[in-house]
Amino acid sequence: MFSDFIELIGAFVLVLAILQISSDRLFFSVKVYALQSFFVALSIFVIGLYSSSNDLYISAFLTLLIKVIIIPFTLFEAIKEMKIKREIETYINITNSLMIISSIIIISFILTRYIDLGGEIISKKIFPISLSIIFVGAFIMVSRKKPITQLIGFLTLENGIMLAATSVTYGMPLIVEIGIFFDVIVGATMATIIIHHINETVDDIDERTVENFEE
Amino acid sequence: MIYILAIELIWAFVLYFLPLKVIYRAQVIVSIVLLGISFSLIHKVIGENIFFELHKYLFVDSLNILIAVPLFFLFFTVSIYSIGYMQKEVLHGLEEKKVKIFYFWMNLFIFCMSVVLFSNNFGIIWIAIEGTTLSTTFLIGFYHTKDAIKASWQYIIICSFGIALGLFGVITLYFASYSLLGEGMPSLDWTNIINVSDGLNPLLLKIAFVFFLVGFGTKAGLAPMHSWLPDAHSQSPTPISALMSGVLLSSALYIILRLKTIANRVGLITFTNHLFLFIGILSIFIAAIAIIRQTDYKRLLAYSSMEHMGLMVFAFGIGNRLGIFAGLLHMINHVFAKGLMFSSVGSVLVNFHTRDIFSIKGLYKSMPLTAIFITLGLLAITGTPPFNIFISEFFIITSAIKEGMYFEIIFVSLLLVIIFGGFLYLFSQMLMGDTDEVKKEDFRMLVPMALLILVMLYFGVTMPEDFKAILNGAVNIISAKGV
Repeated sequence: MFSDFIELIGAFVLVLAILQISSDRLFFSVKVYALQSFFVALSIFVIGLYSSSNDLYISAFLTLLIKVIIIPFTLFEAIKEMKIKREIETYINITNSLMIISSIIIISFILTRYIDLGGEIISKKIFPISLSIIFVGAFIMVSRKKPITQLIGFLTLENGIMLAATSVTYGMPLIVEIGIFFDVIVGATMATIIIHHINETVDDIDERTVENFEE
Repeated sequence: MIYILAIELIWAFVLYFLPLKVIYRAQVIVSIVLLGISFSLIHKVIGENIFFELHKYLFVDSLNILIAVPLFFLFFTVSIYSIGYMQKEVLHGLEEKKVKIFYFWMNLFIFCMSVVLFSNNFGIIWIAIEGTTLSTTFLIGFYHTKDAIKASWQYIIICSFGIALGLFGVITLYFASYSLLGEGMPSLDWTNIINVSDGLNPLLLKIAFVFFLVGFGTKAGLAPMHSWLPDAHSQSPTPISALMSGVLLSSALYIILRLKTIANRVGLITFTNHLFLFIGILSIFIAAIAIIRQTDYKRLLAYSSMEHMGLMVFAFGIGNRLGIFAGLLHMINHVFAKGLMFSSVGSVLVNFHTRDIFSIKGLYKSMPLTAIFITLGLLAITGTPPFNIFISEFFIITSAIKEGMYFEIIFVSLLLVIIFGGFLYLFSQMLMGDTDEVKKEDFRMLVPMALLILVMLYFGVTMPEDFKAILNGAVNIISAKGV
């Protein structure tokens, strides 16, 4: 029952990652990311209830604070400031991306089918789910042109890793988790600053893709 | 160790409130103090000793002191060098405020690197290595040109991606060890994991090893994920290029080596060795192709770092004691040689303000002393006797022949010859020729080069007893039970 519920939340996170691929509006992407992070926080909270561990409550709270509120807010501000005309641009169009991603998800389920994780484990299916989310995040990073969507891809990937960390092993030690949160928030802030610099350096609004930065 | 970390962290913030002239001098003093402390640690670990501090969160053994002392030595030379470098940049129109920013991030970078080396816990190591990415990002975009910003974007995205994969490896490792050691921090401690390594699940360790190799291999500049390296090294200010190339890559490789040691003990030795050999040869191959086509001398050196990292990984993958010994020796030698190369080439950069090889001519006339150092460094980095890199490359080749890897070693030697040729051709374009320009050479930029040359010659002709003891201790750590 409990593990089913965790799997359900994991499935929501995966579905939102796929939705991320099919989104073609920047604001919508950020909203999807915030919702996805909310589900990750929910799964951490539920596991915390189950194992009655205080560390997981703190971790869930930090996820909620940082990934559902602070990072999406920063990204919204950055998008507003940039006044982007053209929305998400891709190297591979959305239909093909969805086809590729679905096959990647199937492959990651097949790959992990024989792995006997052993030990005390909350849910076996979370492992392939989080592996798929990692692949989806990596795919977004390589298939999108705009720096800001690449950043969203990275954050999606990071959500997949956090899901694996909490749902497979009852969470990493608290000090390590706080360190990871710190790194993520600093990294995201710095990446936003660099995006800002990119906008300053390149005047023409349509040249603001990474592609145009490569000579 | 705790003093090293404390000094670095406090100094990074204090320097913001000091005038620039004081910073220049105090930075040298701070780096001397750090070097002194790291020297004093050597005697505590000779033999098989491990020395703990701060509730076992920090530790020193032969392996990490072997990388830490060259790190602080290079930091010392770089501190002297940056005085000359930054003064020339200020004359050329750089704001003084930016120089302070440079010093702030550089010290934070060294702090993160010291945490990577001295930490006992894989979780904290992960946090610190992400810290090195974040602290160098703004240094790469330091000059605020289009290329520099592009390079810093690439750097933060590719490295964060790689390190995120590394985090997955750390999680898998934690999952393997917590059934034996229980929940909490101790399950990620190197000293605890190595004690229970016999009982770890081999399959999980295999997954962890692959993610470590790809993830931290990104930071180490290894083949499939190396694309950030040439841009980052060519765009950042030269002192940072020297530090990144010399020690950042080595400390990332150091983490992979730690995990390889654990994986070797659960019977994955053939698997890890084969992966190491493959990635090593691939890195050397890609680097060799890139080197002969370069027109930018800093990119050239960046690819050379990639080649040397590949060579080290190859040496560790050979699998016998001599191979590991040679790999570690090569790691140390590379720190000094690359430090010298970047320092000397950096003086050319601040005087000519171009990175194009073919638009610089006649360095022997315009900057005679620097040109001599470039020539010496060139001979050293390509592995000519009597410099130290010759010794370690010689050992690598011997150990491979001992294991009967004839095809591999012939291929690698061929690539090394190509690289040698490429280096000689490209640098002779810059050194030879005729020119009327005469540039003033700054002695604060020449002294560090001379120091590095002396160290390299010293290690090229002799090997002190203490150094040999530490090196053997490190080889024992990596190869115990495994080989």
